[in-house]
Formats: sequence, structure tokens, C-alpha cells
Amino acid sequence: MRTLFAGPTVLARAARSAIVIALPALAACTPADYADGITGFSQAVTQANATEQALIAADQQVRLDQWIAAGVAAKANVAFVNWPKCQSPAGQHKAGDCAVTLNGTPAPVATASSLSGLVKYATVLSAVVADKTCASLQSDAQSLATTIGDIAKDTRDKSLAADASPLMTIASAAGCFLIETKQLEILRDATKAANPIVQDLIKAISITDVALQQDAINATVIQLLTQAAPAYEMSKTAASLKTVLALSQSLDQAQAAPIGPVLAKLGTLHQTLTDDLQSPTVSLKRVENDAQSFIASAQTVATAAKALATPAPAPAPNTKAK
Amino acid sequence: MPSDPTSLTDLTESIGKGQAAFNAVCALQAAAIGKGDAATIKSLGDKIQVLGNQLSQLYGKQIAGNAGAIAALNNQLDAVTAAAQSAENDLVSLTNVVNDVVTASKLLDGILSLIKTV
Repeated sequence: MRTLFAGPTVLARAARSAIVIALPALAACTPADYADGITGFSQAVTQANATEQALIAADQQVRLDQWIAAGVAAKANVAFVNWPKCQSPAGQHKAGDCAVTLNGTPAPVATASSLSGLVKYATVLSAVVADKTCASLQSDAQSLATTIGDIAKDTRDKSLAADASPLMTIASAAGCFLIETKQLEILRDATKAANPIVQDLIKAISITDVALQQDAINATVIQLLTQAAPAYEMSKTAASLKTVLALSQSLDQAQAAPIGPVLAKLGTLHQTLTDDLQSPTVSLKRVENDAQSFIASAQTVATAAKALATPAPAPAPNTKAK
Repeated sequence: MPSDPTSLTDLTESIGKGQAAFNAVCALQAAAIGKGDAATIKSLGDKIQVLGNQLSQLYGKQIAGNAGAIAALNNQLDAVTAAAQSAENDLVSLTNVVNDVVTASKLLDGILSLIKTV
């Protein structure tokens, strides 16, 4: 047997050597110190994206309403851009191939999202933390420590058994430290490298989103001042007054929630995330709190955008205002 | 405002002036509505429609022009994201190594048990 197996004591020592080499990669750690902050930032980016989608939808809806109203007012002729494409066989047809124009003007299309890069970036930051928490490693570390103890017991070598407990302690203290360090290293490097780009990107996104919001507000103003209010002046009906009220309220809501300052908060949030990750004692509590504040503000903008896109109630004829 | 602004700076300037003019005409219209001045309401309403459509086109141009800058910045951010992803993958490998060591140590444990019973 001794030629086949080196012997229990030698094997146990070899196993212990192998484990000691690997152990620094294991054990208890608390990535929660930064996990919640990273999650908060990721949620903030998700909300920023949802808010932009609401602005895009609102702007497209009001521009579509304008396009229809202008076409009807001009008694415009409807034309198919390329009729055969409305009949192309399945598999050859692309979205948007079958389109109409009014007096040569195509229907407005939705603006493309400007946050796709930021969403991808935030997802990866979350993945670094969420998928690589030390929980599984801790579990592995415990089973490994148990195994070491078992090996020591199996060898019936008292000196090895005595070694087992301190070894487990060292594993717990030092093991996961490396994983945590690796995670932090990635987060620190990524946020530091990304920060100047993110700051510029958020400024560019802000230009687009401010334009989308202002365009939607303008369209609602036009509807209110050129259609709804004059219609009430002419008819003095309760229904037309309700339309005026609904449009005024949606304008009030949108004007009270400008997107520009909200997006500026997202830039500040990433700056804080970058700075606080660089700190020797990492605490992302500030990021967590600021992220929640950002999410609340961005949700308000999204709600206001949805109100702008909601069609005002159509005036019912012959209903006199009281 | 310039009829065909060529740069984003020109556009921003044109939009600023156009938006101010639009706001001013809208304020006049709101006052006319308050007075029930039907002729003025109709006249200003037409101007608001025209100005609003021009302004909307300028906002569309600004968004389209800005899309190029956003795409370039997104490409840069994608490079950072890819680097972080790559580093994350290394961490996965590290976890796998750890799991392999656990398996190996269990195997050794089994061998030791076998020796004990022989």
C-alpha cells in the first residue's frame, strides 16, 4: 500500500499544503459593504431608462396627435410610401416598411434610447457583486475546513488535528479577503475609468431628454391654446372645460418635474460612487441614499410624462357648462 | 432664428430663441383667451401652430445630432464595460479553482478513509 499511497500522514500533509495554497481565496467576507450601493446605482440607471422611455413615448404620442390634427385640418391626402411593401411575403417584411404619409409628411417615429450603454455598464457592475458574493465561497470554505479536520482525524495524527482549528481560523479571516479585494479592484477600476465618460454621456443624454420633454410640453401647450381653450370659448360646455382643465393639469405636472436637474443628480451619483469606492474604508451608504432620492425624482418625471401623453377627454357636444 | 442651423451650437442657440418667441406668443394667446378676443385667438393660434412645428423640427434635429455624440460615448463606455466583464470572468475562474480544491480535498479524504479501513 505504501508504494501506491504515500501514507495517511504524508497525504494529509500534502492535502493540507494544497489547501493552504488555495485557502486565501476562501472564507467569510461582507461584500454587503458595497453591494447595496452598487445595486442602488443600478436601480437608479434602470429608473433613468424607464423615465426616458416615458418621455420618448410622450413625445411620440403628442407629435403623432399634431401630425393627425394638422393632416385633418389641411384635408391632407393619405399616401402609401411603398404599397408593395405592405404586401411583402412573411419573412421579407421589416417593421416600418408599410408606412403612410399625409401630404408627403411621414408619421413621427419614436426616438432611439440614449441610455443603452449606461444600462449595460450598470448591469455588469451589479454582476461583479451579485454573482460573486462570498456566500457560496463561505459555504465551500466551511466544508473545506471540515474536510481538513476530517483528514487530520483520519490520520489519527494528534499534531495535525491540533493544527486544524487554527488553520480554519486563518482560512476564515484571510480567505475571502482576496475575493473581496478582487471585487473591489474591479469596481474601483471600472468606475474610475468610466466616470469621465459617464459624466459626458449624462450631459449628452440630458440634451436629448430635455428636448424630448420640452417638445412634448410645447405640443400640449399648442393643443391647449389653439384647440381646447378656444373650443371652450366658443361652446362654453362642461366637457370642453374639462379638456382645458386636464391639459392644464398635465402641463403643471410636467413643468414641476424638469428632467435636466434630475439627470444631473445621476451624474453626481456616479461621481459619489467612484469617490466612495476609492476610499480605504468602503461605505456606499451615501450612494444608497442618493440613489433612492434620484429614483423618486425620476419616477415623478416619468409620471408627468405619461400624463402629457394621455389624450385629453374629447368634448361632448351640447353639454353646457354650469 | 437662422433658417438652417448647421452645428449643434447653432441649433441650441436657435432653439433658445425659438422657444422664447414661442413662449411670448403663447403668453399673448393666453391673454387673448382671457379677454375672449376671438379674432386675436385665431390669428395667434395659427402663428403658434407654425412656430410650434418649426420648433419641434429643431428639437428633432438636435436629438438626431446629439445621437452621434451619445453613440461615440456609449462605445467608450462599452469598452470599459467589456474590461470589467473580463475581470469578472477571471473571478468566476477563481471560484471554479476553489471548487476544484474542495472536490480534490474530498477525494483525498475518501482515499484516507480507504487507507484507514485496509
